Amino acid sequence: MDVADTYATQSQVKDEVGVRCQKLFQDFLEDFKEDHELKYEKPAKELLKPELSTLEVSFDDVEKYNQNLATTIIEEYYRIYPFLNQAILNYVLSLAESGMKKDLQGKECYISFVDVPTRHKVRELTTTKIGTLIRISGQIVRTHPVHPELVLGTFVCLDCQTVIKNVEQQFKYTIPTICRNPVCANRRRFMLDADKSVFVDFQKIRIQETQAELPRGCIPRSLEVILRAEAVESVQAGDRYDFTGTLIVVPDVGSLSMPGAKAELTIRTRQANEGQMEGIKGLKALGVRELHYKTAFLACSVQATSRRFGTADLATDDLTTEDMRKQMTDKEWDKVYEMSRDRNLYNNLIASLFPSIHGNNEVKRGVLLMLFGGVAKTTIEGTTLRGDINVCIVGDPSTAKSQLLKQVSEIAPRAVYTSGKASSAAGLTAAVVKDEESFDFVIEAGALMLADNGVCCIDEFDKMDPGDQVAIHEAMEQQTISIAKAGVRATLNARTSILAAANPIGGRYDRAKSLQQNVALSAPIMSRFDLFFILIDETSEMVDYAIARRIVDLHCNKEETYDCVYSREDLLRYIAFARSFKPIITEEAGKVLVEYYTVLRSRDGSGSGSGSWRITVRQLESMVRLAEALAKMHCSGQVSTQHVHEAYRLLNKSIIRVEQPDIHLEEEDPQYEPNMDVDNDTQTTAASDQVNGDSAPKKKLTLSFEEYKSLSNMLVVFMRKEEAEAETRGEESAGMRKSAVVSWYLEQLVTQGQIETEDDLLERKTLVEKVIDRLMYHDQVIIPLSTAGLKATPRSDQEVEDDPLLVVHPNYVVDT
Amino acid sequence: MHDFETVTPEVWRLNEKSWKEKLMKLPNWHRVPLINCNASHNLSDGTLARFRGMVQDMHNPEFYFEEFEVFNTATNEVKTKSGKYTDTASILENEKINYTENLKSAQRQTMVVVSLPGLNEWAQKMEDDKNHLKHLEEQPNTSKRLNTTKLKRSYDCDEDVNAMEVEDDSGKKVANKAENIIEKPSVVSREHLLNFPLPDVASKSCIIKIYDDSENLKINDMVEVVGFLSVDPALSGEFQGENNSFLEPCVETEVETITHNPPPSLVPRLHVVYVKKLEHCNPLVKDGDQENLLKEANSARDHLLKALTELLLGDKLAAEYLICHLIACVYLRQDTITLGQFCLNISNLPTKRYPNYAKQLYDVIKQFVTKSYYLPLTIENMNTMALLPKKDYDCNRLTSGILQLSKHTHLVLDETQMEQGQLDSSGVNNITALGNLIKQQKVEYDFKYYKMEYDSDISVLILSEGKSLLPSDYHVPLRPESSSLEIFDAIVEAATYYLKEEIMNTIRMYLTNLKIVKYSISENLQFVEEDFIEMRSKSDTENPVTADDLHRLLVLARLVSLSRGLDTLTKECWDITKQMEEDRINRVKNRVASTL
Repeated sequence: MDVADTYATQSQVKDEVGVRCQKLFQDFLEDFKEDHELKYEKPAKELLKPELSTLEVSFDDVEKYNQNLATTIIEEYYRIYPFLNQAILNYVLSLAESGMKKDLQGKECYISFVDVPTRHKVRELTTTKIGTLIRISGQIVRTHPVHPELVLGTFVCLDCQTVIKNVEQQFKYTIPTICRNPVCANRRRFMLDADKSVFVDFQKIRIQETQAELPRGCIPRSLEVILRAEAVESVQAGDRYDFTGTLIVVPDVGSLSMPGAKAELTIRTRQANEGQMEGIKGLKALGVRELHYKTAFLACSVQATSRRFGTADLATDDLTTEDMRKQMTDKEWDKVYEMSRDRNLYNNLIASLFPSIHGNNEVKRGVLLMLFGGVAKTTIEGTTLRGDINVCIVGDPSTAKSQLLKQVSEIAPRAVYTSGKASSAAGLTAAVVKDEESFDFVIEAGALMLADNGVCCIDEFDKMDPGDQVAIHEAMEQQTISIAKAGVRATLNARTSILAAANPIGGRYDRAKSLQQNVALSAPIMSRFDLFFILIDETSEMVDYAIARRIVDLHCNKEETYDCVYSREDLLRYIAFARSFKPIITEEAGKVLVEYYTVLRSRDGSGSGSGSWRITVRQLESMVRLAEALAKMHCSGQVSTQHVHEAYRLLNKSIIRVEQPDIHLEEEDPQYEPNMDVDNDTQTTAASDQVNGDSAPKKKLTLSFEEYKSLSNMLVVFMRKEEAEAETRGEESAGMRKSAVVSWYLEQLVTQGQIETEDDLLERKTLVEKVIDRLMYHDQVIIPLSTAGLKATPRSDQEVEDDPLLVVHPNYVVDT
Repeated sequence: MHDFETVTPEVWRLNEKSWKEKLMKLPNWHRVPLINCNASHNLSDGTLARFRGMVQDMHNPEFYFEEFEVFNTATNEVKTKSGKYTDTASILENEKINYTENLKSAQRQTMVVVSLPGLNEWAQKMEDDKNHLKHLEEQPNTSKRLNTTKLKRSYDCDEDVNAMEVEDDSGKKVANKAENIIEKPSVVSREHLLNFPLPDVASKSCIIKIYDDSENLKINDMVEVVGFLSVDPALSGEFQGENNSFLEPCVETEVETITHNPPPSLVPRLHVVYVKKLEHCNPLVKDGDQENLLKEANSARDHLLKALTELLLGDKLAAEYLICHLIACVYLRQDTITLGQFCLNISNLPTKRYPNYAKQLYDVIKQFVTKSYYLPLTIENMNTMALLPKKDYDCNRLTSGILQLSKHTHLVLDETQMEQGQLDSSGVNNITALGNLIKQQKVEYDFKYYKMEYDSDISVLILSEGKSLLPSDYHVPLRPESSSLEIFDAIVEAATYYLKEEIMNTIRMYLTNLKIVKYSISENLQFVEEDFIEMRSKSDTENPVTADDLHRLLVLARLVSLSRGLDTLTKECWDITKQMEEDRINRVKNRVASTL
């Protein structure tokens, strides 16, 4: 046996596993049917074209076809990789017509697996994973130019001119170990015949661990990924992709240089390089060899990262509930199931979501529902109705607004936090910028786009330039961003919920004024928010005590005081899962919706119109969305009446109550301190009772805001009229006695027939007196004149105090 | 029998466990040479050495052969060798590695550790005195070197690195032209290779290779590592061969190769056998029990208060706040809340009279604290300096910035140097970064495609004329006594005289100890809650009292108690705290334009 034969046989040692897999895989390609059609016949025929060489195979199909084969492929991927390629080649050749076979000589085919179930983190790729089929995801930080890679080399021996074909190259330039010519002892002097060698497109890229995978306090790791054939040039730096393939070990190219292309660095190294095999250089001649090998990832398929379920992204709109169920481990599924059965789910969720924020439960509920979101719909005409819920929080400074926003942006995976003050419209929406290198115009994503399918938290919303506020109109309702600038016209998706926080004008929320007067936001923007919450920094002993307790506990570092029912992971998984539901409104619920809407509408109409807030279809839509979000939260496929009730309550709570808070004119409260049900920090049951009491006043001394407003307007108008009349009569306007005003009012009521009994009369009398007092001391619309000194009146001081002269504040404008 | 001076990787590997146990029991750590204090060319390849520093960057894990076979073609012998704890395999010329069989691969984590940024002179000097090993210099031990040429070479590298680089550079340019390689000629400066966060400060750096992943190191952690030194000059990226990009598309550019493989004489490699996370780096502090730590607190505090009051021109309140600032550190992070940060802004400095007052003050402060850095807040600095670390994808490493500091470092910002001018975009970014650091104790690292926040624990002291443009937790306008104003120079002198080495050391220990001491609040803090309710009831739009104020008070109360050697909050300290805050707020309100 001569040397050449030895060489030949060595390289032809049969790998039995490989051969068996090749057979099985070829069978699979030939047999696998989907919908009674050979699934891979057509794509394989495509490969007959000379420029194509990659066959995409769904791993799911392989698993369905033969579980053993699938397992072997997973475990021994790199070993059987050439056999799988060979199987494809054989299959392709079998499909080819006889005439074409000749052209296909030397064709290489490559397998590309997709839908590989197991996914690994970049950090988990240890040496034990070498050679197995895995999927990783990463962000591309660097791409290298495409090169031809030598796959099979053809060499010519420089001594005897023997041609040696098909020398496999293993990520490094490999020359034949020895010349095939038995008489030639050449082991080193070969020349590559580039024309007869087989090359493949080859690109190296570098990926980096994604933020979601990164452990806290670590620097992201990077990994080289090798792309071949059709996969090259399919990626862009900065984007995230999924790669399927295997981890391989490559000799560190840097340390294994080849003969003939030596370093010309220094004389020292050059001398040392002489006579070295395997690229050992420098001091290695003196008995030192480096042992650097590197790992790289040989990818067979590249896909843009699909929204990862659970950990990475909230938005899983393209995933069905069933898909999601499949992706969960049993334990995870049990937890989700358990959570969906939780009777106290609503409260437990908000407690776990914002453990360190005290009170503000309604706001938290609103934010929670925002995370679930409603159902986006498309009408027959093709207009889309957004499903995302927008929430705005207006409040006094230091009422944990920013904290709430920060918390959301930390929890929700695809959330962006930005401050309205710092970011202009360009930063928020999208900007057209000139690329530094190519001078092309490119669109740079703004915060809203970055939060696509997530939440965009905008702090200090009111501080934003009005022009910028307008710019996000579109994003809020149409969920798109249009750009027309510098020759670029584009409409970009921005399907994001907006969570905004704003400070009231003048720093403090003035309860005497309407919401609109309190916030520097235009009405169109305001109407685009589904929920508006007002946070008022009120001082009450109870609340202050609770806050103090909370803070002291925090400083004691007592974490257990937080009643976190669910861990953050569980929470996110649950939200992601629940989001996949698309609840449908039941007939019953629909009726209730209509009912509530009519209530809202009629109240809006009957009110004296003090609020600029109009109940429009937008509010109906909001109610629908909230109800849907609630249904989702309970993992229910249908929106029930219960959900609508809660949605109505929340909506009512958020806008109507704030807009027109009830006025309590309690007798025992001499200051007539308004105990309005603006969402303050109280958790007391008393407060919530009043809240739930809806519009029906419990005491006669409680007036709804509209009633109060209309009553006061009536009085003011009357007094003004009297004053004007007095002036026309030429008399000096001296104002009216309080008793006169009261009796006039009662007369009015009697003539209208609203007072029937004596009790009614007394009640009305006290009521109107209280209202006047409130107008005097609280709203300061009516000014009591101190008469002493001006005119000598026979009345006693006591009488004056009881029945003062009243005038309307000259600057008061009756708003209608 | 081997001892720690002669142990080699091979010997260590044979009985790793017992060696490690022995190392733990070692009574005299400092006999293991500390690279920070001993020139690396005095240490021999393959012996144990120590390095102390901050984790600056984490590279990708490195793949190595834990076990492999070599075949000696001359004697036909087969030997098993290991690549653990070494970069190079010592293989004779006629030995061949068997790459196909009986290979056991494993991976090790590589990290870049730089000497502690901002470590003050006194601390460094103390370390030097303790760790400098004279005998290493007296007899450059050639015996353990592989050969003499190597020794010579490493001398070369170390002593005239710059000269050599110039030479290399010119040589390389020619070579590059000849081969028509697109790569830019790699001019890599020493600073680039060392990658130290602070500019103009001498530093050392070291690449450590960790085999045991259990320590869970994080970026910016302070560590002390013991490991086998590897200073083989062949490791330098400058000696890497070039390769034919036609056949082997190279992954790394030249810059990257050189950056990742700096000359070992400049950046030695350490194959770590033991990592210790450091809580502090004060050479004076021994790990003692808490009671002892607190016992001496009061006397140290008296000294410090006296000195600082004098230096702050007789302003005792400012001195009290400054003490609190010096002992403050972050002690709790929860969700979005960071507790314990204590950014102090002392304004109203007498700069008209003493333009260098801030610097002079810093010069005293740096004598007390272990790590500090003085940053003049000028327009030019803001526009040109790199404050934030940035990922350099060309070199595939994290290029450090000034704000990459280990915990408990004091950053002193001198705003008295500020003048009117235009901030450009990097200036604005830098100011924002400082603001974020102060408000949240987080530093945003720039990863080009996204930014990532890392927790930090840096105490910031802002010295300014008016109220600082940066936010601060506590703002104290200085109220100098006119008598002290006259004689400031004399005060500085007197203070230097007063602060004898002995007193200094007490203060230094005091400041470090109080950062480590455990502090707890008893459950029953009725007085705090009641006070808060009372404050709230008095609050109005002019003087709003919010939850933040309570946070601020509690943080201050903690420091007031600690500075007095108490490890819990008492009513007495709480009252002192309230009084301090009241005085301070009054001062802020009645602040008048500086007339000094």
